[in-house]
Amino acid sequence: MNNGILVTSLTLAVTLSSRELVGQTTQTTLDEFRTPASPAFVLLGVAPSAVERPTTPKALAATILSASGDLQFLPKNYAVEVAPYWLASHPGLSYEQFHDPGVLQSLKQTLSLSFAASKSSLILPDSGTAVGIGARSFISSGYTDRKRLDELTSKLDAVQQAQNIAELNKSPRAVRDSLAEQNDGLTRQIQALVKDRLGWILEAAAGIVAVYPQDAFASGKIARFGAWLTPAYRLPHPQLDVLIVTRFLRDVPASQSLFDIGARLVYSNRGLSMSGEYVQRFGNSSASKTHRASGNLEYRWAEGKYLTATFGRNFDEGGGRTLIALIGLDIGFGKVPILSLGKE
Amino acid sequence: MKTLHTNYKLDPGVITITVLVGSGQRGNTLVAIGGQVFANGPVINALEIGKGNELAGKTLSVISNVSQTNTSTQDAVVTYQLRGGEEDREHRLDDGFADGEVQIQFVATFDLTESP
Repeated sequence: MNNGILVTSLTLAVTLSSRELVGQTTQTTLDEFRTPASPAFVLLGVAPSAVERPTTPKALAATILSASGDLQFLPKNYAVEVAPYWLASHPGLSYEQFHDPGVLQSLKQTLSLSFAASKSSLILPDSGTAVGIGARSFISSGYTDRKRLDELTSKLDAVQQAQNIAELNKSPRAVRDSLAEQNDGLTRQIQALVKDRLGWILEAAAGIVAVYPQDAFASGKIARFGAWLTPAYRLPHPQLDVLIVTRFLRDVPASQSLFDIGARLVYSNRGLSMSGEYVQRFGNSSASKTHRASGNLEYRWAEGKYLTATFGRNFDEGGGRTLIALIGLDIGFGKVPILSLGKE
Repeated sequence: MKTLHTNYKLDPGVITITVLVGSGQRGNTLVAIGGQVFANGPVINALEIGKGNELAGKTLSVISNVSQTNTSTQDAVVTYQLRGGEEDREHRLDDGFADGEVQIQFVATFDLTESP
């Protein structure tokens, strides 16, 4: 039995315009592609972290995760995550509504559905495939640094208005290019600011997993389902995330209910991020009491290029495979178009 | 740049225009007839541009610059609502931010014509 797990993760994502489902490359950087493990991955037990920081969803994101005990890098875990709200056009959604959504609008804007398949999940009896579906959404989505947002918005307004006048007056190309450059800079600053949610974020998630031993469809059965809440709080200075998870899981074959409670602290400074997490699992028998404790280092050495390392102890699911020794590498696949769905 | 060129049939009453920038993106819109600028800002709501009998034969220009401040979607959409003419009209222009692009200009022109 292998105790060590070497993981390389390649995260690919693409956003889709509802009107233009085209295979064009997107300008989105890989930083944005760093989608946390989908609920389906969490239930399959193949997520690098048991306590993920909530992030706003992309219209469509795909994750490939390779985990192998024998140094094979062929991916064994796949997930696709879709944010249904963003697959449709929203001509009536104003800038103000987007930034100050009520609870219902926040739930809609941040709802994402995931589907995952794994050939290395610890819940698999032997060989076979485990598949999961999940959903998550923000009940509370924190807030953006409002003062800074208003300041940047005001500057962007001034530039856009100048661009409009330049277009009306057919101003020289150099003038228009200069304004466009200013617009680009301000827009990217707003994009970064909006992603950096502060204060309390509360994410709710749920999912269900089925296993197919020997890859036989007829032998498929529900293995696990669960639901959880992840409250998270971010301090801007120092940049510290405090995350708490409370999770209910139902292990169907074993007819037992499991409860997880845990926390994760993440400290970030420039390209370096350090975190530690502890999750305690309780069940209806003393044998099901187990825990997970791990430390994680992540370093961004260039835009969109990350190295991550995780070491620790995983939940004991009965097989004794509790060591977590992960090395993660995010490489710049994010700008490669992966979907071509034709144009309306 | 995304463009729209159409006409709008007038009635003698007051003509108004509303411009909505959707998908949670930030946009500013300029409304002009010839060299006369009526408004240039983020909110264009029921803006009066004149009476129908004074506008016939003129061209209404509506220029919007939209920035991708919401990265959850690549969509940019602008809706134009014209009221007070022979009938209320609504037009919509959609576009998507392409690779490396975070701004799109939408230019709509309406030839204002008298009702027959």
